[in-house]
Amino acid sequence: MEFDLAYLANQWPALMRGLWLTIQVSALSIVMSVTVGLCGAAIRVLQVPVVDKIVVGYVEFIRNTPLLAQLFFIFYGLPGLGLKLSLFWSGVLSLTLWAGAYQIENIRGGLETVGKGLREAAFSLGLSPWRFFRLIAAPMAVRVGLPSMLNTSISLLKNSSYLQAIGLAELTFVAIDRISMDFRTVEMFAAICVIYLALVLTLSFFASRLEYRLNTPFRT
Amino acid sequence: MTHLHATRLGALSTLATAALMTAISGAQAQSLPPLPDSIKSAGLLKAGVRCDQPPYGYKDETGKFAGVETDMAIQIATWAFGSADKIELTCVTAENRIPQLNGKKVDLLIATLGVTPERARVVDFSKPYRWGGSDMLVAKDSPIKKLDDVAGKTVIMLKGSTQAKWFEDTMPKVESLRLNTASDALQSLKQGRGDAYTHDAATLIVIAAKDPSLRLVGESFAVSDAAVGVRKNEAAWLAYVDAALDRMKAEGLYAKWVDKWVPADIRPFYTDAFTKPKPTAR
Amino acid sequence: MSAQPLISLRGIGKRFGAHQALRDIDLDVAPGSVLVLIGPSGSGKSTLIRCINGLVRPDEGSLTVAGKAVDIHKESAWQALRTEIGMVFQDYALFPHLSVLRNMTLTPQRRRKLPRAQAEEQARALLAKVGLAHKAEDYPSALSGGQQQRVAIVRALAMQPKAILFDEPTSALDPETITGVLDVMRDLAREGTTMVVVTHEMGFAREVADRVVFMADGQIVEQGPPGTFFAAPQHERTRAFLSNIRSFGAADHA
Ligand SMILES: Nc1ncnc2c1ncn2[C@@H]1O[C@H](COP(=O)(O)OP(=O)(O)OP(=O)(O)O)[C@@H](O)[C@H]1O
Ligand SMILES: [Mg+2]
Repeated sequence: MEFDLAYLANQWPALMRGLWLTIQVSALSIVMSVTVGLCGAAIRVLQVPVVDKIVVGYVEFIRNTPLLAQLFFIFYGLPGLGLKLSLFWSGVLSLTLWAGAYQIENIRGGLETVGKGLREAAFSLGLSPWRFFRLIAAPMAVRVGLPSMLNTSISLLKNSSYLQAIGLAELTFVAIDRISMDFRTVEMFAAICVIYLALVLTLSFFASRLEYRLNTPFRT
Repeated sequence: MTHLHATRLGALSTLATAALMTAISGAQAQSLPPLPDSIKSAGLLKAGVRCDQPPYGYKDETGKFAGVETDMAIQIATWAFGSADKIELTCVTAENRIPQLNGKKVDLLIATLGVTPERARVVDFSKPYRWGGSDMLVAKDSPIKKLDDVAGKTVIMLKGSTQAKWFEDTMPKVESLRLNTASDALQSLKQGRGDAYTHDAATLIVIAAKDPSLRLVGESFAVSDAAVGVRKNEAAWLAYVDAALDRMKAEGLYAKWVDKWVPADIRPFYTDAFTKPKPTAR
Repeated sequence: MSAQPLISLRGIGKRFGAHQALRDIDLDVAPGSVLVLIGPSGSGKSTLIRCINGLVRPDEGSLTVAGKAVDIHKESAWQALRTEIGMVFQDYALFPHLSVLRNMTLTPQRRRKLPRAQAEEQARALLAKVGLAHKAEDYPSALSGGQQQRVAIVRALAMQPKAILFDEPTSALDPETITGVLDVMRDLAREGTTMVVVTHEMGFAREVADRVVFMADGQIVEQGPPGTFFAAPQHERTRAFLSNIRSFGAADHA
């Protein structure tokens, strides 16, 4: 069988629909996972009693169990506990929780570079711990943690392909689904690899722009 | 005398018939074409079977491969290599079975593989060894009573299944939720993520028999032949498989296997599928 | 000394684990006065000065600021107090991701609820006062240590505090930039800013302080106006400390 471009052209609209869903799920999950990361890291660093232990447990749980198991737990397990989420939100929730755990560690790593001196300075100006975190520590930590946060976000984007397993019609689903009917394996997998690559490169590009802007204060 | 003679003759002819039968089956045994070198050199048969499709291919409570199609594969290994142990069984899914075959992970598929033109483009099919229809499983109190009732509803199906193709071609307006495994599909149906779950009738009958909260819709559609799949351009191997299937039929092995794997109450359906001609349906 | 002290500590004690860092400290700071705190390393100067704004929470004792008692066990009381008492650190502690101007407007906008324009106007005026008007838009990393410390001082001033605490404000600076910072502090003193200063700059103490307090082992050993304190120290430990400093001399730029 030779590489059939006409076939790909035919399937292009379906692939684009899959891509759009991949982008929606990933973008939403990236934003939400960074939020989870900020909150979790704040709780860890401010040593909020009890809750910080829960955060530690959450991070350990996520990091030491397979994403696919987490996804199935959310999609098939939660309804048994009375929470039935749609395909889309099951996907977003699992990616958010997965990446959120890593973002907590990334941001916490960044926070550790914000020294005691700045903390005392902020407090001595009357800032509350929360405002110190929001106005001083978090923006600084995000700068330091940006490369690792980008890595996690790229992994999230790639891992969104796991959502095909629960039947969410994202990019990988479209490919696998078409392959299972048309058997154009080479064409389809080549196409989605190229698309994923383009997505990751785009994300990296915007992240490096952001990094450049955020680092303006440190360039002299 | 005459009577005696006649009786003798009858007895003789019975004997002769029996001898002839033995001779024929012996001849058929010998008439299996030579095993192609490409298969022989492996020293065992690499077969792809289903692991979640009772009674055709599944794993029993102890995790052992079981089912009619599994026995077919073991039988071919026995004939080809002289021992039932000369086999390497691989679990395949509806979605990965053809890639597994064409990627040479297995040398044949006896894996509830329905004959379709799309598949015929990428694999070669043996003679059909049985037919299989499709049906739908719904909740006991579901308003869905016939096939057309699923219009505008969500139907759960497996990626790459005959039913997925059939719905896409025949009822494209039906919403589909396409999953990877039968257990995912069943769970999704029970959690109400879809209104019906469509699959091979043979599979659904087993589930419906075990689970009183579900029922079959009972309208047959997308009836297709199941055949063994081999890679394209392996004519000698295909001829061998065809001959082996003929021999299974001639020796009455299918009925034996159905008896072995299928509980008595639902047995006739399966016996028909292997021995009666294909019915007509949408 | 006026009748009513601006800051008044009574019986302040603090321990870190087994180590008693402060023991039964009584101290008054009169409004508009400059109090200089000296003592050997580890004597508890930083701990004491931090007990005045709650960066270190005293275990016991009482603190009164402008006639109001501070509930030393309540975080919200400390947070409110810190908007009234500024602090300048040895390592400047400017926020590196904010411009000089933003460093100075952040808390006035947030805590004093100044409108942005007004906060910026005030900040620029303060910067002009310390000769750094042209650095308003720069980030801290573009400034020398002395410049950063001057910004840190006016950042504290921008909150219009009742008093400012200095913890060794010149110890991290190159000798040539120390003078600029001390000049700023001298100006503040002249304007009547209440200041508590931990320093090794004996010249500054002698010239600017209204009162010098000598600490050792977490206790106040001796205090008095700089004239008598330096001319005739009463305690043996004070004398030992002062002669030690003089013999090194390097810290004395007066
Ligand atoms: N957070 C802390 N935890 C434990 N011990 C501390 C802490 N802060 C200060 N100490 C101890 O308390 C004592 C007083 O420390 P402090 O920093 O107040 O001394 P100092 O007079 O400021 O010294 P230096 O001139 O070196 O700055 C020291 O023995 C110090 O080790
Ligand atoms: Mg100190």
